[in-house]
Amino acid sequence: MAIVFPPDDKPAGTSAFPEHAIGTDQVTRCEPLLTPKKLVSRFLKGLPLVSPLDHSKLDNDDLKDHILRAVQKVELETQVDVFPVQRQVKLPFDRHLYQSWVHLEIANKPILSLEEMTITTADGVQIFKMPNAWVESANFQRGIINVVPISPAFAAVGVGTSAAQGGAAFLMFIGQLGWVPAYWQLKLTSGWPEKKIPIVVNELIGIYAAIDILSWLASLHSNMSVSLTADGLGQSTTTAGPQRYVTRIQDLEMQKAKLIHRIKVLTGGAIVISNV
Amino acid sequence: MYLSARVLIAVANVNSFEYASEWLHRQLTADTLYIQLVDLEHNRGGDPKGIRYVPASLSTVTVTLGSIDSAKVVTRSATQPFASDPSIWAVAIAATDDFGEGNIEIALQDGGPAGTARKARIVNGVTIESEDPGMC
Repeated sequence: MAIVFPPDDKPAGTSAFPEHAIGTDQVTRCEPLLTPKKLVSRFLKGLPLVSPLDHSKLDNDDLKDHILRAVQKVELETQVDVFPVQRQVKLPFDRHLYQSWVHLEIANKPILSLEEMTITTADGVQIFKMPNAWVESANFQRGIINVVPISPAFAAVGVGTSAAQGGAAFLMFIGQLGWVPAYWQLKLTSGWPEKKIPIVVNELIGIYAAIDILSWLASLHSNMSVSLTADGLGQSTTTAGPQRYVTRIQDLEMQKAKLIHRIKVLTGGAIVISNV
Repeated sequence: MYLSARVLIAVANVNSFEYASEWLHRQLTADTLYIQLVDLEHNRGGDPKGIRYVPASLSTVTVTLGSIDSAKVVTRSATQPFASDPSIWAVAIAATDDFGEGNIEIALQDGGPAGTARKARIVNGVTIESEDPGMC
């Protein structure tokens, strides 16, 4: 779903790759998403992408599907969105971080832009909206957000906020606490910008896709060894037999273990924290 | 029927074109996107899969090229460039259009306003060469 970006959204200002760049030469460092043709030319050139068993061919649609799946794996493994994603994240109030210029860090990096930073209650009432002008975007590439309202503090006229009447009381109440869960609500866009993926990220996508394809191809080779004897008219062939499938299963088991771990991380199930 | 579509490139006439897995577009340049409607319920094992689908007369096709920014989403009516092959549709892209990569969404009103609404999607159908590939 497309997003209406507010006119006052806070962009990162500098690029994430190369980090903090504001201008470059004409060297290509970013490119569109890997295409089936590029996947073959970079990783699989010269390989017959055909099953020797039933002669079924890996066509462009199949390669595209491999790329699509590789993108999802890269997103899961690296926690970097290959394509931009807008998120609504709620982070806790931590007194120490609050006193360090509201130091907040999100898991999905880099941040492309911050649309809105608010204090929103559990019932969805927005009680304070941070002026985006106060938000420091210097470390958006690392997923770090700070609020540094130095300029407004010295200005003759302050920056207006949308704090409702109840907001001040809420802030005072919060001041007595050390930690409040889901306090800051951030609406932000993370990932690589549209139409631009670092070539090294494409490289990773291609490696994931190529490993999967090579694993499939390896499992299709039926003969382990073949020998012919000319004079005695003998011939012998050793096949992998069911071992062919075992190798493929081992590859898939490894992938399965990785994915299970990453999906658990995604839902907070990989680490159990308790006070018992 | 299961409506889908394919990207066509190097389109000269109904007898001269190539199928492509994606449409390569250079950002902020005028261009034409050609697609062919296909029915994937036929020729399932073929390469490419499906057969061309000729919609009923008075049909309209709307193509959407997405973006994360709603201001950059392009939704445009397609036209039939060749009377002899009504399965082929063309979308004019303006030099000011700045949509993103990803899926091509197709809405077919088969047989005109009183006809059947059908949808199709070309997954990752658009690949765009950025104007400034030096940083991202």
